[in-house]
Amino acid sequence: MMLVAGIDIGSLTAKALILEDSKIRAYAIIPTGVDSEGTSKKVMNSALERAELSLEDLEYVVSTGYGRVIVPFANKNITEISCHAKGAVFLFPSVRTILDMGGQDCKAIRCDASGKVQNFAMNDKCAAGTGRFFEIIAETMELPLEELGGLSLEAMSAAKISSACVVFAKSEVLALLRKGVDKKNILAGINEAVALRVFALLNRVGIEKDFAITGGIAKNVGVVRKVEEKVGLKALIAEEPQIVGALGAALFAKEALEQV
Amino acid sequence: MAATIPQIDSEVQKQYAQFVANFFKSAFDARNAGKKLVWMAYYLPSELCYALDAVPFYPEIWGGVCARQGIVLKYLEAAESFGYPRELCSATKSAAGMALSGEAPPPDAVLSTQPVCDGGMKVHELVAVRYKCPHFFIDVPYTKDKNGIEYLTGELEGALKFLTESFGTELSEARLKKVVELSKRAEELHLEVNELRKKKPSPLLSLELFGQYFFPCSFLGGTQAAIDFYAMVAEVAKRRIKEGNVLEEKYRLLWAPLVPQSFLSILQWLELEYKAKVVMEMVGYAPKIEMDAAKPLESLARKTLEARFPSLGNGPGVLNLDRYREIVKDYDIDAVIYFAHWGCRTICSAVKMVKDLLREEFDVPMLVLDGDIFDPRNNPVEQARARVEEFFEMLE
Amino acid sequence: MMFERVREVLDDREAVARSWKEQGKKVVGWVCPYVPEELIHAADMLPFRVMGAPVTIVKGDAYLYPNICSFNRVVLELALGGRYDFLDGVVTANVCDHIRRLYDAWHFFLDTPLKLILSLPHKTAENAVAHFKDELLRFKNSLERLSGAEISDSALKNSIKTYNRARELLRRIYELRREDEPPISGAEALEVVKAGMSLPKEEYVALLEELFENLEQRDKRYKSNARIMITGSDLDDPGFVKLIEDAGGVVVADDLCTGSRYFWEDVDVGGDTLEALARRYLSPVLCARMHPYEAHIEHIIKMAGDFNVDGIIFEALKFCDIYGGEYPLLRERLKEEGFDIPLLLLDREYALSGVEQLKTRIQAFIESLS
Repeated sequence: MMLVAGIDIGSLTAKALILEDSKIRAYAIIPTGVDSEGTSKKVMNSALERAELSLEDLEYVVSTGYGRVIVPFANKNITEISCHAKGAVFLFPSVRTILDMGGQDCKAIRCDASGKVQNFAMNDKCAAGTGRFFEIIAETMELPLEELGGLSLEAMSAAKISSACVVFAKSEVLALLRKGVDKKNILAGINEAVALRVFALLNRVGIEKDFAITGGIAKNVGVVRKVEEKVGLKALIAEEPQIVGALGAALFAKEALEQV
Repeated sequence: MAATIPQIDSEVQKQYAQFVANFFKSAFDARNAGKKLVWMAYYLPSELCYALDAVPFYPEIWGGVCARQGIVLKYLEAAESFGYPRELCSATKSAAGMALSGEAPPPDAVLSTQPVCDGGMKVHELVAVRYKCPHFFIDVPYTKDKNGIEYLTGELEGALKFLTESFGTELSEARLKKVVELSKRAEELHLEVNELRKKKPSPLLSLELFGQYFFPCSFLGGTQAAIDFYAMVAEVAKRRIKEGNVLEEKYRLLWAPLVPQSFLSILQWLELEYKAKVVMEMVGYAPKIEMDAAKPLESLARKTLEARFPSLGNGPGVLNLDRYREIVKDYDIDAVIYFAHWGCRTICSAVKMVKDLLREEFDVPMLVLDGDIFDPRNNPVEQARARVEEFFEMLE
Repeated sequence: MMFERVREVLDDREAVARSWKEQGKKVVGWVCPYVPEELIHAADMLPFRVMGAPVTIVKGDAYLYPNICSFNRVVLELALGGRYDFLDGVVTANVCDHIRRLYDAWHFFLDTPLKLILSLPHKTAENAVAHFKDELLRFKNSLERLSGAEISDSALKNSIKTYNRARELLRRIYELRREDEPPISGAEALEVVKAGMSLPKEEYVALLEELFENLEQRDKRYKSNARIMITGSDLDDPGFVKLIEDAGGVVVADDLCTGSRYFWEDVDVGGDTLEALARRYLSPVLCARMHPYEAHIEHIIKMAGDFNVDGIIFEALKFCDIYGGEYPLLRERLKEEGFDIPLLLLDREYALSGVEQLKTRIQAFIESLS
């Protein structure tokens, strides 16, 4: 029996996942605190607890995400770009194009059948379509974050939002709210603008089927629907899309052990 | 007797609209008409095409027409998806998007150049690659001295040689001279019209004029149509002066350097609300050009170097500043409105220099409006209106 | 310590200029390597490359505009702050929109005794050479007025020889980078080239001779997961190169105006001297601004092959239209013939920023190569 783990320290959430041979044994998701090193220990312990294991039982740990270099117990770090591709192809072997919509950035990734990255593009210093972006929108509209996606689907028509830039979008949303535009329609407009932006990102790497969305925003059905419309492909989405990066990291850990 | 406001669909407006329509229609019809179509970078002399009975197509100008019709965004997005930076000028980006989406009339040859901007220079390289058609780069020097004129004359000669070889035609020296003769006449008439605009009050309306004055000389230079247009405008101006049918004005404005289509409503509002009339635009300025049909290419080189480009990319900025000095004096300008088109490095970086110069040498205030010339994602009309209001409150 | 002197020069680039001034000699700044330094050298003045520094941009935004590339805004920031007051002249060429505008602002707002912008053709044909030669004559005359002495042809020829010698040595150092495990890292190579842009050339030649010998015998070797080449906009920050090398790559070649483009080609000393200079500086491989533009792209591809690179990093300063516009052309060309050289585009600012994101991109690229 081989026990390895992947740990993904993102900007908003930290994820840890334990792999037993090729099976997910346990995982945990917690918010990323100010102390990234402490967060990494906390999330790992939480996953270990669920798996009824201790850190010593793990033979290899790969870290990923923005905090990947500060995980004290990792044997190696690999970028979330490689990890999301690896994880997505493991879950859906036919996937060649991945859109990772994370806490602070969006990435378009193209890969081969083994999950190896062939091309990728990231939005540059732009929060459009990220977890942070939707947090700000939710705050501005005084709505719970989880409800944004469902509500937007009830829109009669999408309000016109010309910019997916968080600064402009926020002021446009405020202006629309003042005008009394239905919140559902505003949300639909926001999703439309975001979908356009990520579609451009995907085009930069070239879209090949099948297509998957990973990261926390994959849970927002409203955004997913709009992105699918633009791309013209159904998006494959994991049961828990937030852990795909950690899963990829764990798979790299497994490979590293097998190579020895 | 109070002057009545000449209708916006005046002769000037109507003929101008017809002009633009005909100009682009001929490009879309070129293939069926058995004519060669040349994609020209904005700034290059159309006379090169007319001398060979070929049809010029200026993609950046067509992008402007698309912007007015609200269909330019797809071209901008096509270019961005392809890998062009979002920061690239939207006019240039629209040209790239058109080529990538294949929705513009396909060229038989491409003539490109640099002075307007480096972005445009690079995009035209892609255009030629996409259409797999021959491409010639006309190198415009950064000096206007004898040395510079000589170099550009050689470049224009090279361009004509390139076109005749690509099309398998021959250049008629007589036709070239005729085209330059027509071009010279249009230039003279443009100067005449601008002389009339110096009158107080100025006989032509802001909205009536905008973007129109440079169009005929720049894109129809070398045609009878350009001559007819200027002759008609001069006629209208003289008639209005004679009949006393001129809108009164309190402020004489210079609009610099470009105006987005979405701001046109602001022009009319300025005129009615504040009696602020645009009596000159950087694009409406008519340079004095030495032209001689006996030396056709040298004349075209001189014309090209005296560009109508609104901020002079073809020489050091001091030349640009001299033009501001000249206009402010000659047209007795009270205030300047400057649209800083975000995509244009040349226009934006001149803001402080122009503003300082106007204040220090002429005590003329300048209002700067930010936005993007074509991009609907960055076109804050309401904000601009508010800024204009503040500006005039300060003036009054 | 092999790079001691190099780092000393870079730690205080202006120190050399100050000591030169103390001897009563003049210093002429140049922006962009299209300015033939040989003429300044032959006039017995110190050619000094005008560069940026890590400062916050405030005036640079106000006196130019935030849509001008950060290199030019930083330079103006320094100049307006008095950092370049020691210059007796500043010379540049009609290279790109941003440098043209930097020159305008410098001309308008600052009092450097000599201010000059050369009309630099975009082509290399005979008429272009003739035009540029006339411009170089204008440059020579301006320098003579500044120094009060004529630049003799033999002095100019000697300067060219010294410069060619430095170029040759730099090329030999670059040759060492073709080895599987090069004795010099990309960050070190950038430092070496950069030092030559402020040091007097005689001293620089001596330094390079010593350095070359030491490098040949150096025990330290750079092993890596991926051999990387960098191309793109103005990049003079060894820290940026170090990001790539810390992520597991080694930079073995570059096509940068602060790197190989500065010395790749010699000036031919036979014949008319000004014409020879005009020819050398109109080389089509010097920058993506030149026509035919394909020459520069082919040069990149050839160099990538010669140095056996695994991937190319294309860095473009935000707002850089020339390199922003070259990237899609290069990418399409690489697709066309199945060269199969992976290409990574990185947008950056002159001052290193957004380091975490940059690191992720670079590391992911290197992971995809190995």
